Formats: sequence, structure tokens, C-alpha cells
Amino acid sequence: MLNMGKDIENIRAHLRYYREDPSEKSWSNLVRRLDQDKGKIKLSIVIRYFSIAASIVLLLGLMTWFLIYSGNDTKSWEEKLSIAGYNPEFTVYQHVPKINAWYVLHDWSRIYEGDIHKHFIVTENQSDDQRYEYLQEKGDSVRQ
Amino acid sequence: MTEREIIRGCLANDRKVQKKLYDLYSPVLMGLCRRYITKKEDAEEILIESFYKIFSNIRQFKGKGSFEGWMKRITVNESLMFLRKKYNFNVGLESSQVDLKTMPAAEQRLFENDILQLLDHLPTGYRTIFNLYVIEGYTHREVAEKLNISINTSKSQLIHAKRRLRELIKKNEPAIAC
Repeated sequence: MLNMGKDIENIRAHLRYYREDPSEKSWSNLVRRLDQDKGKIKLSIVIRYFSIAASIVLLLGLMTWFLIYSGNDTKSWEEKLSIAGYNPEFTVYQHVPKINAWYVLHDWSRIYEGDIHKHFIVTENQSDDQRYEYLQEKGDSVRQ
Repeated sequence: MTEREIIRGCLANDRKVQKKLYDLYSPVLMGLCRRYITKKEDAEEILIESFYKIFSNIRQFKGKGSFEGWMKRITVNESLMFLRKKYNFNVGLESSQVDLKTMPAAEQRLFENDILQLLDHLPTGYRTIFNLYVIEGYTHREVAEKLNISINTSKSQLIHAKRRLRELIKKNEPAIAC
């Protein structure tokens, strides 16, 4: 590498402190640039507030819809079963007593839950003694 | 108005204080831009962009180093970004035939302008590396990182830049009396 000679050192010394005035319009251009940015910031703040407000309205709407329709369940259990496509796995835990009654009504005694439910429905409104007698008549297997 | 007051005013987006800072440092930063960029219009555009970045990122200045140094670093980076867009620094050595007839026969009072014009006659790669290493005081490693070139390229381009400058000075001895 060459040593920094006198000439180069002189150039360095002079250019290090070299100054030049920009044109007069450069400040106004800079101000315009800064103002443009300010406008963008304002717009982004407005958009942010609008999106927050829209989210709140949407949330309130969903909550209202949920409160109105969730507590007003007017469909019969037969309708619900038909919506569920008669799938016992879907409805059995919610509607076990009703399904059992339905099974008994149509005499589908061995479809899913088995005889025990049928017998339970039959004895549902009986006293423990009456139920015991009924179950004894049907045999021990029913009690399992 | 002290430097601290100016910084505080700029933090508060006070346009008058911003103007004060601009008036104080625009000649320095414009001079810096002109060392890197030959065209005055381009240099001015970079100056505006640099001041825009200075004003919008002034919170990042923690007051540890010199404020002027911080502003100069921003301006150098902006100039390099501009050059990177226009030129590829990986091209290696550049060759340019300098037309010495265009060199001005200036008087002593125009000395700095003459040197600047001398620098303008260097190819962009030479000029940029000369500026970064000799004038700004960056190391070859830093120059290489900034320009995304190898350290050896930085060193060799500097040697060529110096050689070219010496030739130019020799041929323009009466105009540039160092």
C-alpha cells in the first residue's frame, strides 16, 4: 500500500471541512416531506381507532346474538335428532332420557344403550321397592 | 441555543428548532454528500432524505457520542445507499479516461472546490473508498462491510484512487497548489 503522501494529506485536510450551501428550496422540500409523513401518521391513527371500534361493535353483536339464541331453544328433541342425522353418539349424552323414551316408544330396545335403559325408563317413576321387584322379574342380567 | 436544547426541540417536532438545526448543519452535510455524489441535484436529494431520517430517528440518539458524528454517519449511509442503487461495487477496478482539459484553472480561493472537482473525476468506486477511508477515517474492514466488497478490493481500489489523484494533481499543478 502506498504511503499517504503530502498531496493526499492536503486533500484530506481540505475536504474534511468542505462545506456547501444547499439551494433555498431544499428546506421547503424537507418540510413537505415531514408534513407528508405527519399526514400518514394521522391517517394510520384514524385507521387504528376505526378498527378498534369495529372490533368492539362486532364483539358486542356476537355476544347479543349468542345471548338471544342460546337461551331460546324451542326445537323438540326429535327435531334435534333429525338434524343430527340420528347419530346417537352426537346426541346421546344430552338427550339420554329422551332417546331412551323414544327407543321404548318404538320398541327399539337393543339398538344402542341396551335393555337397561328401557327398563330404567319403565321404572323411572316407581319407588325403589317397585323397581327392585321389576328388575328381579327381568332377571339379574338387567341389573349390570 | 445549545445542542441539547436543539435536540429537545427536535424531539418535540418543533419546526423552528428543526430549521435551526438544518441551518447549522446543512452546509456540512451537503459538503459531505457532494464528496460522494457528483451531481448537485442528487446530493441535495440525499441531504433532504438524511435530514428526514435525522428528524424522525432523533430518539435513537442517546447522547453518547457526538451529535454531528451521528448525523454524518446517517448522511454517509444515505449516500452509500444511493450509490449502491446506481453502481455495483463488486465490479472491481474501474477504468476511466479523465479529460483534463475540463479541469478548471481556479484561483487559490476556489481551492476546495477544485479538489472536489478533482475527486469528481475519479471513478465512483475509487472516490467512494477514498472518501470512506481517507476522509471519514473508516478502516478497510468497515469499508468492505459497508460496500459489501472484500478487504483486498478496498485496499487495491484505494491504492488506485491515490495514484490517480496524484496524477491529476501533477497535471494540474498550477491550478491546485497544495
